[in-house]
Amino acid sequence: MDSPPLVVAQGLCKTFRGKKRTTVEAVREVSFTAHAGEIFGLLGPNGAGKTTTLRMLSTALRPTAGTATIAGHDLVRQPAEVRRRIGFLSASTGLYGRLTPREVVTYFGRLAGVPPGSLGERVTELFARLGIAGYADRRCDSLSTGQKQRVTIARAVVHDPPVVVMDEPTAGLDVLGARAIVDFVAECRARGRCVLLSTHVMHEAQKLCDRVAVIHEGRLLAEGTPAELCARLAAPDLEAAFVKLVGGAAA
Amino acid sequence: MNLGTICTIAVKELRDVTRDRKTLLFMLVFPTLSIPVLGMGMSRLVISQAQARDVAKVTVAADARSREALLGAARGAALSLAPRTADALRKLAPEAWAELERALGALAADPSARDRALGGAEDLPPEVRKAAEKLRSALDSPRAGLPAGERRALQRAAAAQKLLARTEFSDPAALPAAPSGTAERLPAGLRDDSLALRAAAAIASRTLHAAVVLPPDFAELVAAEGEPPQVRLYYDSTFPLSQEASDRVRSALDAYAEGVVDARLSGRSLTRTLLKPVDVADRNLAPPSRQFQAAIGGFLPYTIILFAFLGGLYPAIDLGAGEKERFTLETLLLTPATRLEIGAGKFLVVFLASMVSAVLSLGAMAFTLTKGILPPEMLAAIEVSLDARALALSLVAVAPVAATFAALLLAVSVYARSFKEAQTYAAPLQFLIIVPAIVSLLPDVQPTPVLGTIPVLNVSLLMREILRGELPGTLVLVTALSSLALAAAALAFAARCFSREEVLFRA
Repeated sequence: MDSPPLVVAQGLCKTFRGKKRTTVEAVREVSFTAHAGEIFGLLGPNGAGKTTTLRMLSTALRPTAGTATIAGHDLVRQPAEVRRRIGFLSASTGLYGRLTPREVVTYFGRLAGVPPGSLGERVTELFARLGIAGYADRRCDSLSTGQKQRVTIARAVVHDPPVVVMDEPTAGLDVLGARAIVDFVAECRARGRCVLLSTHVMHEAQKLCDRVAVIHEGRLLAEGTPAELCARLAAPDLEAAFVKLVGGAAA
Repeated sequence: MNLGTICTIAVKELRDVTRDRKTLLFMLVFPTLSIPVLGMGMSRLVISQAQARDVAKVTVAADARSREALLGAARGAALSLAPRTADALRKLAPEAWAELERALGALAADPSARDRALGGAEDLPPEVRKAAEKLRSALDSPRAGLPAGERRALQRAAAAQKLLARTEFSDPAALPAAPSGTAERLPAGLRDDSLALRAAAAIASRTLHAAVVLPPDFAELVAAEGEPPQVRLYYDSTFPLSQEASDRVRSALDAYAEGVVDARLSGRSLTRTLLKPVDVADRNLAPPSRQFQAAIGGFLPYTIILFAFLGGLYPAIDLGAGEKERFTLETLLLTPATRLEIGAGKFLVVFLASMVSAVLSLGAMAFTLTKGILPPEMLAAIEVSLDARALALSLVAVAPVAATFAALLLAVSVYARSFKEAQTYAAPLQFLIIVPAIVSLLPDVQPTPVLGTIPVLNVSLLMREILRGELPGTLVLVTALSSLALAAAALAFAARCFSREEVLFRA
């Protein structure tokens, strides 16, 4: 691939302390690379370690071992630089209900270090693009789920980050909500951003992702374009390939 | 640490929190209104009850002979001013004495009229009562140099007058029969006493307040100087007016008895000093203002500390556990703002809420106490202790406590998984802070350097001392050091909670 690598994960490990002094190895030695203008999907069943991987890449969790760079910045040594360069979005992220969309997005823009002079303009432009302008000054409490979804997207990208991290972004959304996310992801790619997303919805991944990595029980089992994976496993589609991979590992 | 980031977070949190009705209620309305409403309501109630009791008409059941004997005794008490007292008065306050003589006019020749005036009889002309009042106050002053027993003769006479003036008598024979079941509720020894039964029922139905039975030969028995005649007085101490009726009858009889003692003594050419070998004269040197401050000075710190806690409680829960519950915490943590900056911004808002609540409660208290319905001498005392300097110092003293509360509440709130869990943790915390705060209410607890190291308690005591107009150096130093250390420790704890991923991502 000729575009520059934006996300380079090298041997990421995360061990949690479980109950009664047990340890849980949630992520074991995960390495991959994702580039600008690319949608990279992390696939895996529930509990595979997708969320933990994405939380490490977005600096919410500190890796037990290994590291990664985001746009050239090390996430352990330069977490603030990394945070400035990522936008994070998940289906479960909420909004401040007593604030308006404009206040929420401005707040996050300010925290992300968008220069105050251009922040207002950026928010207005973003709201126009996402169709939020009509309800920009109503309290988030009073918005519909779809409207909130758009505000959440605006909040994630107000600082125009080169990398967008999305954890199960369409989970729990209806067809229209999921469609808005899919459109947004495609637009990010068109603008040369790198999108890292996790999902367990295979047809969505097949349609959307340029490359995917399959994670199971904390390990990265396979990586490649959906077509490559299907060919390698002699499967008719990504779902069949996934079942073969994960089922084989379980057996 | 970037101050701009901290400000951005604090401003946003302040906006968020002040848009919440519940927070505003706890931070602004509750501390402002609860003290005036409760304070004025309670003091008005207490005062009006006391006044009502004093002027209330009470009904006492007494048969004709008992009534006659009782009233005779009361009159006798009112007239029993010893001639010595009159002599002393004439010497002590000659002008007031002359005034009384003038007011009495033709009545001045009748010593019993003069004694009734001094006893506070209400059926005399106003100028006579005014002059008598002046004389009585002269007599009351310690400078009168009268033995305490004789000085109290006037007070006894007044009590007897009160009985005569505001007490109605009813016929015990007319009391309705007691309903069944009355006997079971009476003390064991009284169940066979038919008057006790009927009086108990009538008092319960509020048609009667007491009943009294004097022996038919009451006066003769007293005159015989043998066994004292037994007077039976029925009342129910759980009914305030019944207690009042009983007090009146008893004080009239006591006054009478005192007079009889005087008469018996002088009949034998003895003086009262024989019965009272020692006379202790109280000389309380505390000015009335300080006596009152000792009480109110303990209540004020307790209230302010409590409101400092309550004011910060809701915002703290909202800013920590609330973010988890609304799924906004993770996105906030993924901004370039450091955990310490996020914690500091939130801390500032909780601290501010806590202080606002403390200031408002202090202001409300000052308003209630000075503009309330308190007697003038209390007001004078409070205005002394509530001067601007003392109030400002109290707020300085409460600041480290508020900071500690803010940090602790925030730490608890961040640790908790949900709003509900945070409230569960906050409840025992509230108990822990209330108990040391209460200690300042105990007047016996003196501020020592050791107590100065106990959190909350030290500030509570220090504020009490400040409101008393004192600023004990050692206590200030120890309190300042220990509360700042505690506030710093609590802040560090809160900051640690914000940096621990297992706390932030507890599911």
